Amino acid sequence: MIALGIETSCDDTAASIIEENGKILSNVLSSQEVFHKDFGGIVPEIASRKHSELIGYTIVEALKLSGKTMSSVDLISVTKGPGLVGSLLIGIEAAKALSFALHKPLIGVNHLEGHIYSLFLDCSPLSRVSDPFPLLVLIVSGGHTELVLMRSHLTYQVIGETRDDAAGEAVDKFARFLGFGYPGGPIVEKLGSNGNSNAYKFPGLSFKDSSPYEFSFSGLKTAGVYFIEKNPDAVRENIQDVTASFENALINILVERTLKAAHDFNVRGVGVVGGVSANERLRKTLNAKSDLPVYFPAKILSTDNASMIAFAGLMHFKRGEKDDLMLDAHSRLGL
Amino acid sequence: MKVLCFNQSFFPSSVVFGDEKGIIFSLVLVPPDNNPNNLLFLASKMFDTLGITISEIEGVSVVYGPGSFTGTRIGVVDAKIVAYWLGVPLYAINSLEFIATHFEGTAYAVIPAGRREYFGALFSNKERINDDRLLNKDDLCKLNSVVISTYDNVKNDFSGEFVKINLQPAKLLEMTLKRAENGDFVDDVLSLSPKYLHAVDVIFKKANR
Repeated sequence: MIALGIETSCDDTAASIIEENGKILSNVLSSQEVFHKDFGGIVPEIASRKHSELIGYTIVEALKLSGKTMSSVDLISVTKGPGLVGSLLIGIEAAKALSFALHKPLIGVNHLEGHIYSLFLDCSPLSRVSDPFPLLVLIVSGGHTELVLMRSHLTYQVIGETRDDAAGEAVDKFARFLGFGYPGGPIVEKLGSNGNSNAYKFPGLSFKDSSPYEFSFSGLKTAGVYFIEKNPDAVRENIQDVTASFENALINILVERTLKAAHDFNVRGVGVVGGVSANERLRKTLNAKSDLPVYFPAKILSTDNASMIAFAGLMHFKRGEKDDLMLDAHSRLGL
Repeated sequence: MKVLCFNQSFFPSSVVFGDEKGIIFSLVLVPPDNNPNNLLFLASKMFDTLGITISEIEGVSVVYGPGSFTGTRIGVVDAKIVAYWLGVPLYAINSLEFIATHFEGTAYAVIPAGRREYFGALFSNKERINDDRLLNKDDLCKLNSVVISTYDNVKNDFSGEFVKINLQPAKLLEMTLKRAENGDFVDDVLSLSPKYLHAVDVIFKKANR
């Protein structure tokens, strides 16, 4: 069985062809970063316009690289939410039009579920674990920070989420105040990679006991912004230490909460997905502090991609689920 | 030649399937069930009900704007994906030209563009006189020709002679077949993009800073 995945929930136009076992035959991503970076974040109307220009070519390229033709595709899987509604609609319409023209089954996939299934793709170590459940998954990206408990495939219990900003959002804002533009995460990581992460003190969480699995990053974000305003000399002379210290504080929050939940729910392993899961300091810290196996997707699959959407769709399809051409976008879809 | 024609660019969204002999089926979406992204589903049901196979489609057309940003994008993506993977020609129809085919004489065809602005162009006996342009409320008031639109609320900003157009999908079919006869198809099907007269707000603001 061959699945085509389509992902357009934010600013990347992506298409992928995968096999039933999660083997990726192609994974194409048309980045719009260059069109948004001058605005300090994603401009939804620009994203929608670019998706509608790129979507057809991206699908064609994914097929070409996979060595397959559309006639060999057995399933069309597309992100239905959460995300920018105008962006989601482009991917969904492309998927529906393909399903209409070629009589292929169609399935809409939750973007967060897609990220979780990046852990189960053939190239991920978790795909070789015979019974990984219960599994705790930390979803951490520019738009989401959630702890999800999986007791079996396709079952999710959200046990904690952020009360305010997502982790990636806090880093992006910090980077913007440093004048780095968008997206800020990779720049902060690069600068901080050789810095002293204990040089400056940034705050952790203040509600440690009342909500042990919840996150909050607005306090850290505000502290970061104040630090930049009040300490121009430190920013100018010790930018590596400043970024390392900020990143370290953020990662400590993520790691502390994740390991507490992993312990309390007696899981067999911890998975970390989403754009921030590509962060090397997060990977090293979690691996060092956890006595359980920790699973990450390949870095290229940490950020938005269509392979994870194709695979999550396949999992649902194998259970007999599919959608019709009334499939619609849901900007605030939860797990 | 059997062609499938989409309009999700302006109200009311419609789809028509037909050939030189006439309409085989047409659908016009009216409120409250007028979500343009349901058009494919409804068209699919019509194909099933009438026992027509998708492979009978020999050409596809789409109204590519100017019009609603989201609706136009949905229509353009639907049409270009269907045309490309069926391997049939794609025809791009201008929204104001589509409205103008409903009227004899000289008239300004307009579509509301939001924030009391309008997309408009002047036509005489269906022939274009000027290019599509973006009109503000004052520009519209100053027009000294008949104004035609499928939107009633245009009357709120225009006190001259106004003619409400009841959209006929058959006109879209006629225009498409004429394009096909003239060989006026989109060269690179996947390259078709909506026609926007508005720059994205942030770009516009940045340019004017």
